Parts: sequence; structure tokens; C-alpha cells
Amino acid sequence: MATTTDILTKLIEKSRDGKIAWRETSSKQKFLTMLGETGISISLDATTDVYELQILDTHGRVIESMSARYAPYGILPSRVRQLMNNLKELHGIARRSALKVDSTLEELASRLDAIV
Amino acid sequence: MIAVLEFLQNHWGDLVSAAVSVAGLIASLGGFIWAIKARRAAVAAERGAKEAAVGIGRVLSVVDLRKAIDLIQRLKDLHRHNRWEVAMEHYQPLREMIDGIQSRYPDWDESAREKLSECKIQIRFIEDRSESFISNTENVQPDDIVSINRQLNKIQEFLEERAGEASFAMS
Repeated sequence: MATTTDILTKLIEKSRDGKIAWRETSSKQKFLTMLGETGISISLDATTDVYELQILDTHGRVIESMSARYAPYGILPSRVRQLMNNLKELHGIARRSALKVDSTLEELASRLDAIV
Repeated sequence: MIAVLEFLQNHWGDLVSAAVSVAGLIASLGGFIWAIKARRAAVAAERGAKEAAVGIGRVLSVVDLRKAIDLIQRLKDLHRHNRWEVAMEHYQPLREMIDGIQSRYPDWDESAREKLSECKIQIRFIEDRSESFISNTENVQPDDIVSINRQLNKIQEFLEERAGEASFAMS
């Protein structure tokens, strides 16, 4: 049986390869992707530094979630540190995908190259 | 003539039974044809009833689409005026309208169904934010209203597109 951790690992792999498209939401630091009629969100609460992954059903109800608090200088068990790093990485990839950062930068670079 | 009468006399029973068989066969064929016609009429009536039900369903869902679009417009205005408590009363009905649309169009393609689910999830996120504004766990910034209404605009555009297609399909 797949666990939420398995889902997180697969999400990072597929998102890294650009195979999953993330979208903006009404919160600046929250991004959403749809897999069929199921939603997956990754968010960062800037006031508490908590990263959270949520799996939502078609009505938007949270059916599974996992979270970790970002603590760069704190001593964390390696399992928690690993989870926090994974959530942070996914959040970064989702942000770049939703805001189309990479394609915008590429377009900017080619426009700059075209300037004589 | 005598030979004919003699033949009739000798084979009268056979002739009568043959005539009865032919009459029976004709009657059976007639019954069979009548049964086929009746079955066709019943199938046509059933199809007509189903088409009428689908047609009514489509009209109702165009009405639902229009109502949902109007409600989104109202929500945007409420957000602009920071009337979060009033707005809270409308998120659930809006999601239910979208549920109704989703159930009336089982034949919509996978991407459209996915989009409807996304709309409901995005509305849920907006509801969560409104809740946190009301409970003062988050302060409303002008940017927040812009990003919330931007999401509602996307939902509105999608529903308007679908309403246009549904109205065109009915005409």
C-alpha cells in the first residue's frame, strides 16, 4: 500500500522532470496540482515556517497531510530533517512551475542575446 | 368435374387443416409484426423520454452555470469591500452548484471534470482564507484580495466558456 511519503517522493521525481504542472492558488505560498479529480497542494506558512503537503478529494476536503517545520539551525531527527528537505524541495519546484519561472528566464535570456 | 368433386370429398379434411395452418401462420406473422412495431414504438418513446430528460438537465445546468457565474461576481464584490462574513455564506452553495453541473454532464471529458474539481478545491482554499481573516489569524492585505479574486476570475472564465458551449449545443 502506498504511503504519503511514497507519494511525496514520486511527486518530487515527476515535478523535477517537469511532468507535473503546478498552479497558483489564492495564497502566495500555496500551489496546487490535480491528478484526475484529486488535488495535491504544497504550502509554506511564512509566519511559522511550516511546509505542508495536503491531498484533497474532489470537494476540497483534506484526506491526508504531512508537514514539517523549517529549522535550519535546530537539531532535528534525521527522518524529520529528510521530510522537511523533501517538502522544501517540492515547494520550490512547484513555485517555479506555477509562476513559470524557468520559461520566463529562458525567454529573457534569449531576448537579451538578441540585443546587439 | 367429377374428379375434382371426388378429390375434394377425399381430401376435404386435409384442405381444411391446410387452410387453418395458413390462417394460423398469417395470424402469427401479423402478431409478430405488431409486436415488432409495438416494441419499436416503446423504444422510441423511451428514447424520447431520455432525450427530453437530458435536454431538461442541460437547460438546468446552463441555469446553474449562469447562477454560479453571478455568484462569483457577487463574491468578488464582497471581497473588495472586506465583507468576509457575508462571503462565507456563499462558498458552500457555490461548490454545490458546481457539483450539480458536474453530475449533469457525466459525458464531459476528463480534463473538464478535473477542472471542475480544481474549481471546488480553489473555492475551499478561498473559504479557508476568509475564515482566517474573520478570526484575525491573518490580516487582509490589498494583495490578498487581488490574488483571491484572480482565482475567482479564472473559475468564472472557465464556467463562462462552458456556459457558452452548452448554450450553443442547445440552439
